[in-house]
Amino acid sequence: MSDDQTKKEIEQYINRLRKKLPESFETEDLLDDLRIHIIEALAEKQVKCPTKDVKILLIEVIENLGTPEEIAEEFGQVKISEPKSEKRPFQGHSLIIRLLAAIIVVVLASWIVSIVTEGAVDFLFAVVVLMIFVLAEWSIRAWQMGEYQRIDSETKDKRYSYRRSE
Amino acid sequence: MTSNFEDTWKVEIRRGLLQYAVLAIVRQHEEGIHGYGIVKELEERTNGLLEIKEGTLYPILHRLTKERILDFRTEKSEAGPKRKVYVLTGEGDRVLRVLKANLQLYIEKLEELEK
Repeated sequence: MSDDQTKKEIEQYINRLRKKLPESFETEDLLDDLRIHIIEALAEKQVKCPTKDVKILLIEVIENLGTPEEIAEEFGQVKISEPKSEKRPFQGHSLIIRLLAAIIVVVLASWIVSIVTEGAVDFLFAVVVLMIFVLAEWSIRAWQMGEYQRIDSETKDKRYSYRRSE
Repeated sequence: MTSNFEDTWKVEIRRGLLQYAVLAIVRQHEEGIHGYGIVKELEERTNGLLEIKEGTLYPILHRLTKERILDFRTEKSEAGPKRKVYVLTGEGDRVLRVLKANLQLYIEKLEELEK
């Protein structure tokens, strides 16, 4: 079996496993670890049994590694046993401080812009434009946080339903 | 039916013991040990008692790392790609000592129950 064929077989196994796991950076990290493990175990077997067909050795390595279902189950067990993070309470003070800081920065920036441009850019106009940017940035960040929490909760649900279906 | 009960019980007991065994192995390697090395030691030093499907070790290592019980650095493996080398953190050392004390206590109490 050629090196390319070996790599292809390894990737096929990794892809089968990827389908059983939630999409996340952690999953990709886990898959990287497993890929390296396969390469190391195969290299060791090749040293020990140099005459044996690589394909057979790779099958042995993958058998020792476990089925994608077994690994996904362990991954699910580990995740389910993790304590749930507590929800953060409403941080009203922090929000007010951030709002005040944003207003101060916007007013200062607008004042500097109107001075530097010698009145070509109106102070009030600069304030309005910068405030629009601030609000847009806040909206995008809030949307991203919402999306992140939705994806996180969906992957937790998927893991839970996977465990329940067994 | 009985065999099924025994198998389930063994799986449950093994899960906890496995994490303990992983920490004990990592502790013995002050310079660190990689996942494949841990698998080999689990197999060889427990006479197969705690032998696992090798791939199932990695979710455990991830959990222990996330909990800051283990830390890792990367190094180039003999086979080529970079691999993680795990070491016990200060917190991991404390956790292992607590687990060891607890385990001894469990064994003592269970033995007392049979007297």
